[in-house]
Amino acid sequence: MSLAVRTDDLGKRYRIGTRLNPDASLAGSLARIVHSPVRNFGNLRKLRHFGDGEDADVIWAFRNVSFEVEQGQVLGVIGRNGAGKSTLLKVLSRITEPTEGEAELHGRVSSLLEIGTGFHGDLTGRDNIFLKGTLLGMSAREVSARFDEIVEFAELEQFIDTPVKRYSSGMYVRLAFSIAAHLDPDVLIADEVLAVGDAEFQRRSMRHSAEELGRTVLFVSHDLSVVSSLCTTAVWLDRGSIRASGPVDRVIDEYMHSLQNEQTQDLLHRTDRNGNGLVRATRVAVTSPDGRPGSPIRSGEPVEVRIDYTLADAGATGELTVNVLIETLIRERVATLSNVFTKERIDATAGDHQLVCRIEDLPINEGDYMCTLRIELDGRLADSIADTVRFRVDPTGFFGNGSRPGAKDGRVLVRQSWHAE
Amino acid sequence: MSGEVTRIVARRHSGWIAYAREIVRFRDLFRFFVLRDIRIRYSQTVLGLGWSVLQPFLQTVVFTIFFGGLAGVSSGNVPYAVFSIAAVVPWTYFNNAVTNASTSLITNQQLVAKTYFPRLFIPLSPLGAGLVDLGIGIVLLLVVELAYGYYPAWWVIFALPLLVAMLFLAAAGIAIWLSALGALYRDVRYVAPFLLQILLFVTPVIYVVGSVPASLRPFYAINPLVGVIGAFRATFVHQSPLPLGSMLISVVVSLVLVVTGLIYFRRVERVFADVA
Repeated sequence: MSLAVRTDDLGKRYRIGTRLNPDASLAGSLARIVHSPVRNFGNLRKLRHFGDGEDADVIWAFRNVSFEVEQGQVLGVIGRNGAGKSTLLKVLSRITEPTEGEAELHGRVSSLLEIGTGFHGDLTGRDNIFLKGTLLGMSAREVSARFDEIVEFAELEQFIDTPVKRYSSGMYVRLAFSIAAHLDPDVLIADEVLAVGDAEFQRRSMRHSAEELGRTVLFVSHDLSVVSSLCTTAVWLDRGSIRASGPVDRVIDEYMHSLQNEQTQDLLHRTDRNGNGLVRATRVAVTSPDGRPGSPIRSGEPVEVRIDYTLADAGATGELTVNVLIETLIRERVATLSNVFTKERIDATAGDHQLVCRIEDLPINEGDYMCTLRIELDGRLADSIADTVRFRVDPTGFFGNGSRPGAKDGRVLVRQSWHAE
Repeated sequence: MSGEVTRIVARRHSGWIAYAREIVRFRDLFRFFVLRDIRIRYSQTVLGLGWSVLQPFLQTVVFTIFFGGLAGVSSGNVPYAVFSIAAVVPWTYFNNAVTNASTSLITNQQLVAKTYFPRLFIPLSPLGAGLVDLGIGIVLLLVVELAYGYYPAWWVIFALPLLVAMLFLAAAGIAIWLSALGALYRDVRYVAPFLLQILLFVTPVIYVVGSVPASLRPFYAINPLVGVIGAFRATFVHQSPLPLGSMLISVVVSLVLVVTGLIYFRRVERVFADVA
């Protein structure tokens, strides 16, 4: 086997937001209007010039990333949101350049970082196939040679001369995927492309790429079942560094194990919040009623969500609205827990408090989920934090008879009985 | 597997030959970018391609009424309408191409942030697409001047490709600079229209070169459009000799702008995806 992709101590840093300091006085504001062009110019320049010193607003998207992929292997890149996965693929696609290290890709590289990028709504399906095909590095002649196959695979023969803005979203995605599936690169780089639309069609396209054509594929996905079914090896990126790499099952196991420990999350250090801050959530936990942290969450059994919050202002009181949004790791909303639904009034008083939301019979199927928290005080958003706790649901006990529903059966489980009439 | 190897090394950039090779490899994409810009330019407009006739036509009418008529600006020995349309047609191309190119990296930021291809195609494709309008504009120019009883020089057929190449080069130099600056500094969006307005006044579109004091003319000719527009007028109206001196200056200045523009563009293009 020969090497297809090699990265060597690859790193990429970004400069994040340029801070603004509010003015104390009118004179201050006026002075700022005069000075700010100079400072803005400096800030804009800093976006691309880095000093040698470590600035507070410089962050590493990833660093010291080294791995190798052999020809014909399918590598999955997994990790939490913000772990640097997408940036890594962008660097390997040459969309953005690394800050340090190097990488080597053998053969022709195509990357699909977002489905439908490059499509123009006013152009017909035919024009878009040529535009997108050449954008992905094919020559016009290669696109022509595969044109009929692409149209047939997308099942769009009748609509090929219709502007794509008149397509349904399903047709749009099918066209995009069909073009991708008929590319002929040696290395395909794909980001989360399995996340939208017609999942079955997309899996078919990916399999077509990987198995039939023997390509090397690098892809990012939040859907671990897809990663485990398509990939041979995986890399787990955690806050910009490789935590584990190797055979796919072992890496996924290690990653899952780390998720188990995130059923409780302290929120004090989280700064990525929205809201007026009158109420602040300090901790969230998803547990089975025995309350032990890390105990497994099972479908069909009771589950408790515990939210610790604090109301700092001694004089403030009001009515709380608490929403817990349960989402999949690709941010599809599965359910919302809210005291608005149950019409249970929660009055807030100063100090630290804990709220408990109890679910009697968890109807969610196998998978990994995360919670976004939103707290309103008297109808105004006081605190909201995305992606807090994560938990994995074990569906085996739901039917109480040894039946094992799985992720392929849908996101929810429904109590049911069957009889002949 | 093809033998090609892509090496990505921090802080090291491919040479000009490798850069040119990438452009050649993706050349078909450029064709489809141009085609896209042509197709979408007048899509969902009532008049469609009619706009490429109306734009220079109305501009000429306005100039003829206000400058030729009311202000009494001299157009030498030809009617003002003929005089001005010969300049308005290339000017309209330049103006549209540069305006579109200056914001092109921002309007295409999705593409830049999510796909890899030679970034240079983005500011250059409006220049390619504008050639269709230019062709239609030239037909309009011929119709108008024939209606007034004027003819182009007999060698117009040979001169036309050269004139278009000069115009393209002049637009490319400014387009490359403005697009790269515009991606980093959004101020360009506000500066570009103003810059173009000034450029219109320092180019012999509405008045004859003769009204510029002779002592200032060498500086005046630094504006690459002076030579290009002069050449268009001399060829199509054929009442004055080709301004060979200012044409030469125009080509040299345009080339300098293109080369320095390319150097700047290459220096900053690797961060377009990060700052867009």
